[in-house]
Amino acid sequence: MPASLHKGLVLSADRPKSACLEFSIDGFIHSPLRPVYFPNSSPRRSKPTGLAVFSLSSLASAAVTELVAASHVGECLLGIAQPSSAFLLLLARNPSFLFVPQLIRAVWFDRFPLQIFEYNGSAVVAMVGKNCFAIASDRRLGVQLQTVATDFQRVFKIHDKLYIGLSGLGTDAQTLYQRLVFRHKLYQLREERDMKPETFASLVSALLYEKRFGPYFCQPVIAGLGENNEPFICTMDCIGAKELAKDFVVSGTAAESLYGACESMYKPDMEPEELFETISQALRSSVDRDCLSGWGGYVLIVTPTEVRESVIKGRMD
Amino acid sequence: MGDSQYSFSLTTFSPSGKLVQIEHALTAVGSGQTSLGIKAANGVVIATEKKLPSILVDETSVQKIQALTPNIGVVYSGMGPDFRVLVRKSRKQAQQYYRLYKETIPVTQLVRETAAVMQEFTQSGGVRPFGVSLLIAGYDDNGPQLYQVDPSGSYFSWKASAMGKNVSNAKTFLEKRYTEDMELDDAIHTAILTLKEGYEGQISSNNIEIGIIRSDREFKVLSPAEIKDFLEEVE
Repeated sequence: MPASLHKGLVLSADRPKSACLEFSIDGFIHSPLRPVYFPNSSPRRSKPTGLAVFSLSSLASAAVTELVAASHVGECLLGIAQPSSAFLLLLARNPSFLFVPQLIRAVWFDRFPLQIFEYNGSAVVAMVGKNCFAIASDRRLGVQLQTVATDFQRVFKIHDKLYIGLSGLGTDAQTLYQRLVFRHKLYQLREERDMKPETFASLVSALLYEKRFGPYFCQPVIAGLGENNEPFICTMDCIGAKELAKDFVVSGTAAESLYGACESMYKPDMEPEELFETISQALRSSVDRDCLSGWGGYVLIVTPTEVRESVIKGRMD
Repeated sequence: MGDSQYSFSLTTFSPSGKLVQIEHALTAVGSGQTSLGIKAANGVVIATEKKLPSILVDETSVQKIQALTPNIGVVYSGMGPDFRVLVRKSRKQAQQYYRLYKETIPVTQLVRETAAVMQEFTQSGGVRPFGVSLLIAGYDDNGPQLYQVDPSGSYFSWKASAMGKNVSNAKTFLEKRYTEDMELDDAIHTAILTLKEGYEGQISSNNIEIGIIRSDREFKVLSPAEIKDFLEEVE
């Protein structure tokens, strides 16, 4: 082995997207140095030995040729720190390379299977106050670790006294919202009245369960003022298991932090101003602990007479 | 009828603009036993004659008034078997509504859906209209309500109405005796008197059926003993 090689990444050819070990040719383990991941379309995946590929400028092309010839080109990782003739050689050798820039960064996530609920990142919380409720969400839309939007809407209005927040996959959140608005508008026309929050929650639950074996990857948070302007909140999982609560409900990638923050900050019977402060603080501190949600917050306080929307500024990251 | 050559197919209009099969269905209703309903200020009462073809028939097995949900009841004039089919369909629709919304179906919605079923059978191939008119009585968040549904699928809300054999006399009688702020017990008495008007023979607790719904929103069919008490009060 060439002595100049001192960093490398080994990928097992028969387990392309999962475990990959980093080690150096001389036996030490190092952290990866901007490895690049190419999905391979070759059908030959039988050889179990790994293929070591190197990201270095100090690579002698001959060494690479030797290595490439010696091992089976199942998967390849090639550094682009400095494209060298090694790169060209590998390219020539395996024409099925697909150089996709974002996959460079995706390799970190490709260590694990695609976590559909963590794909976009979200945080939604609702709290009950005195004759009012608050519902809030973060504003980040990401594609795994890349932030794509900082003004993404997750809390939607169904009618003046009923709101739904949808965490989880962004596309499902939007589609589910459109379906629900459709159903509610027809209900309004037929029955000449707005849907009660409890009724709406049952409807959402039924709709989600319809897709039991191919679900919407969303966890809704429903908040509304019911009969006599009693606040009502509930959440459910992606297949419609309702969970009613008297104090607060949370969902999203930041759910665990939100549970902790809400539990400690919540008090029953808070007035709208205090409720606003509490929910904003709970949201902000929780999303700060979660890398996939954040970029500010959007808070709605709903009382029988008015609705207050605010955008809160937090750590923009 | 001059439209007889157009009466073979249900789905064809006659030149006069009528669907002759529906006219025939209404005739079938008009020759059925009288039934009526009255909406009071605090409830609704529906009642019907229960004339059996022979004294050998077990009258306890015949139930002309049925509940569609715990707070909605229905009575009919016309063909009994068609009525049973409609009751079955309406009950199913009410339960589907509950399954979706976890809320009991409002009376107007159930009436609308039942009427839609009846209309379907006037516009499909190979079927005939239902030979019944229904009187649906219920109590929900909008208070007591009484609806009549015809074989054509049209429905009307009534304060008081009658159907069947003696319809014109019964309606005249009801128009005279109906008041807006009637109590339910008064309404029951009025109903019994109306039935008595057109009854051939002696009215008794075994040959009429009465169903009531009060503000407690529980529909119930009165037992013969209860009917007897009301009959005695009337006399």
